[in-house]
Amino acid sequence: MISSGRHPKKEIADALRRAEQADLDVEEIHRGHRWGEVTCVPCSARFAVWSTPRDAGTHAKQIDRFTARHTHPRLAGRAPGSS
Amino acid sequence: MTPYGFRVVLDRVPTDDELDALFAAGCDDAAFSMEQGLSIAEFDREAPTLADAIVSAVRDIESARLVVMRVLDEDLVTLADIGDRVGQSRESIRRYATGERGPGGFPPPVNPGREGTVFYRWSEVAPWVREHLAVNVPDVAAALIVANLILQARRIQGQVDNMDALRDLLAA
Repeated sequence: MISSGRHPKKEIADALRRAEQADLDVEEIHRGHRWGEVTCVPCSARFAVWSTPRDAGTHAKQIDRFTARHTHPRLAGRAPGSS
Repeated sequence: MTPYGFRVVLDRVPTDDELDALFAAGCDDAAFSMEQGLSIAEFDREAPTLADAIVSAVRDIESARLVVMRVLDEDLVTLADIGDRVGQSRESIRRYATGERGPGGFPPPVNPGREGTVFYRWSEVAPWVREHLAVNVPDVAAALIVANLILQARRIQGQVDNMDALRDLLAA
């Protein structure tokens, strides 16, 4: 899924790109202090992404840790190279 | 100052308004997520000590009217968990625990006598493992464990007849 825009903080935008590459959904919401949300579709876990966290690099690492926890093994039928 | 990383479980998933209140209360160094039905806040908080970091996080969350139910400390472990951390099978750890093997004196379980899964405190098992099995296993941070116990005590203390007696026990 492609989000409609990029997060203004580069480190966070990069972490969100890594989340998308790991098959997580990134949704831009802009509600209060929340820029958007990362969702793991298989287990419906959700992560709130701040627009202006205290430290962008730290928030990026928090996103990466969420991504790592939700990089589930792909279903056999979706594995690269299978047909 | 050092940033201390730790995770807490909240009583519920914050609404949009509550997320804004949490941000304004100083939780802009935390990440809020919902995983396996649990409301999680992951902090990377600068503070003089881990204890200071946890207390300020609890205060910030409470000022937004949410409740910190748990600090994730990974102190409660099964025999299989201990086996994983020590690098031995569950069965061999079970035999140490019952004294069938080894020098004895294995720390007692948290829920003795219960049918089914028995839990142990890693904070008690780790020193025994280091001393008797010569495996250099790491400790869980003591501040996480104590913070968790105090959160539980805080919630339930109103139901105790003469809580002061128990508080004195903690003091000395």
